[in-house]
Amino acid sequence: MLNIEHLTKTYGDKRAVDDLSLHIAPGEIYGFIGHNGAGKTTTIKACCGILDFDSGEIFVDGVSVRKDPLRCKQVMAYIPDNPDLYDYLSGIQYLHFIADIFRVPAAERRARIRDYADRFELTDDLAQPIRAYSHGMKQKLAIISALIHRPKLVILDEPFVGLDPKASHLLKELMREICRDGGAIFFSTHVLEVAEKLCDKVAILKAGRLVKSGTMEEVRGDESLESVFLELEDDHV
Amino acid sequence: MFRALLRLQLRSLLAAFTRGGRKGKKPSKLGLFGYGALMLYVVVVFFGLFYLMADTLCAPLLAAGLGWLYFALEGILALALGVVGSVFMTQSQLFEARDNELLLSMPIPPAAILGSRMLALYLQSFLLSALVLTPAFLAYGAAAPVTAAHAAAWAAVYVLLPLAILALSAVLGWLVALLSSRMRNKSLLTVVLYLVFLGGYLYLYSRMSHYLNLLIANGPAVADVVQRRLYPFWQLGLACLGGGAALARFAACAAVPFALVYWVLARTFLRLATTRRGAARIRYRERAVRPRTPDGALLLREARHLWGSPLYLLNGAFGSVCLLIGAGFLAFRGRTVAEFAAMIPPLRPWLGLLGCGLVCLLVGMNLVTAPSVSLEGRSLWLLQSLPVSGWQALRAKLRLHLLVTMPPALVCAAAAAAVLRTGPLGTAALLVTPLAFTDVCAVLGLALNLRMPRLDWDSEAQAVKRSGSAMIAVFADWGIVLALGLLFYATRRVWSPDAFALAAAVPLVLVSALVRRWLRRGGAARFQTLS
Repeated sequence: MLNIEHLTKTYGDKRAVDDLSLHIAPGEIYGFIGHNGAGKTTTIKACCGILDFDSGEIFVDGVSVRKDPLRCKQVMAYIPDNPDLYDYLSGIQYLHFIADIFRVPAAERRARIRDYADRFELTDDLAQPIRAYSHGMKQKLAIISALIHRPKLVILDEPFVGLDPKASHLLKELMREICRDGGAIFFSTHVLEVAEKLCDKVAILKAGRLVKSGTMEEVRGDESLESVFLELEDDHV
Repeated sequence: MFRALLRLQLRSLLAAFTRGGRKGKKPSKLGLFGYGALMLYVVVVFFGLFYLMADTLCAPLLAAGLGWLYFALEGILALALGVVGSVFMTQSQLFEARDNELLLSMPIPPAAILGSRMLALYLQSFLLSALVLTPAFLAYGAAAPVTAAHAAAWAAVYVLLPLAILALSAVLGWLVALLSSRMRNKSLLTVVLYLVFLGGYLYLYSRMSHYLNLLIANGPAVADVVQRRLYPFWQLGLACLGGGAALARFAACAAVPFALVYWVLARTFLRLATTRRGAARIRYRERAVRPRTPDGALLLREARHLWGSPLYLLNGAFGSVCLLIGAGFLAFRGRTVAEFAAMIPPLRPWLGLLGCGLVCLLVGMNLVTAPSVSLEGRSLWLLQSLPVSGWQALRAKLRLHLLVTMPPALVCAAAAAAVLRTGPLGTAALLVTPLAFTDVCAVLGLALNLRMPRLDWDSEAQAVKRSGSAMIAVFADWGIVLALGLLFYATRRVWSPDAFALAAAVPLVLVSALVRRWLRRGGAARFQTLS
């Protein structure tokens, strides 16, 4: 579903991402971990077609992000770490805007908005302007808007920040649902326990380079993900 | 700490001239020179206007022994300009700045945050009042000898009057913020209030020569009213003539209200800046919706942004308001205008061209596209990550500009054609050329903003009012009208004014097509990678 081939991105003299290759198959939840500034967000933004890169290729469902970004964006959804949404719209106006962009038919969008908003307990607040929302409410709205067109690939940057435990639990359930339906999830996180429990595969990035990747069992062996991560961090100093 | 806060405010104030976008790139020396020249031009125009008025007033009042009244009236004018020019800026900078909560969460006393913001606003008030006071002092200097006492008093008035302006705009800004926070449609309220302020100011300004004559004829009576009702300005007038005691009294009149306002605001700033009163909570009820095309959705989003942001609406659609007021004036007072035009027969062949020029000048005041990229701010990622091309996003901004501007321009032009009886060619010019010009303004504003985006703003005012692209756009638009006027003057023997006015649409369409071509290619690509 998402193939990253030899991705390299530099900012001035600094190599933010260095020859990174990852393959995320349909039905997989793929975790992406690394310290601050390791290059996770840069990779994610490049995958979403909102950041140009120096070399390499990224394919979404077999389509090059560089050559046909619109076709790629049509089948994916992106939720950034700090969702700055349109403050001047109400929650429901925002959802309809996203649904219009993805050409979601009226009946389907109504059913999905009702379903997701009820599950995230946001229904009563949908008529409120987004500027009145808390960070968590904005995060919930961003998640609902990301799922409204049933994307095949969902890319999330630190998705659990700002969510209450119930919403976090619900998001994890939804991530599993998407994968059961043949979709794929690629997300970055600093919460290693979540990655350990949720992910089928994981990749550890350090200073822009991939230091380890594979299934959860392959990566952690008999240890905890946290121990592996900390060891790798020390080894590569 | 206070110096750090002040530096932050001043950096934000000067950001339009020192950097663009989030990457903080500095503009070229040529760009800085351009900004400087532009600002100088604005200052010279205002100076000229206020000097003419001061010059008319000065000699008769001095001859009547009412020199103090001259300064009192100039003081009132400076106060009015300062308050009208800064009340909405004060509202957005003091009470609605996005970084209020961030700064308040730090170990900084609220009074220091307020003080740094007020000092930046003081500088703006100082500049606005200086635009009136300096020509007034110069006009006095040309009519009467200036002593050291005069100069010292004027220097003190320069410093003191902005305090009174700031006190008044802070109170009015707070009232506007309070009112708008309780209303669902705060944009409408802000626009109405602004129009009331500006309308009052322009009404007085337009009647100025009448009032000046009245003043000159009834100087003692007016002086009596000022003495009884406007004590601070009486003292200001006396102080400007070198009265030491009067200066002290005026200083008290300006400084005490400022200190009082500052004291009250400092004590309540935390509450004022963080309380979200908001309109009544609206409970969501599911309704049937009609799906739109992506282009329709983008246009609707742009329209909601314009309508949902008072500052954007004011600056973006002010030209449309003026065009509609102009159309209304022509509809109701058309006979007066027609009679005036008939009184000057040589004017007859020029009416179509003059009408075109006036409508175009008003069209050029609309700045919908010029701040539209900057206004995406931190939510720019959304348009970039959605399956819409950069050109689709930009086209929606252009379409909104055209939708907001073209209908009022057409109504005003049609009213002008009907009232002035411009003939077939003149009427065609009135109906075609302003529309072509509208398109030029739209594409030019958008191109300028793509070249000079400001995405890291904390208050929309920084993107709307203090952005280089918005400032340059309005002068570029008027510059085009001026250039066309000069071109006609140079070639006036070749064609009639009406023929020129209609033919002017051709280069406008060409310019528009060229800029649009860049927007479709380079501009759209640039938009997709802005950060």
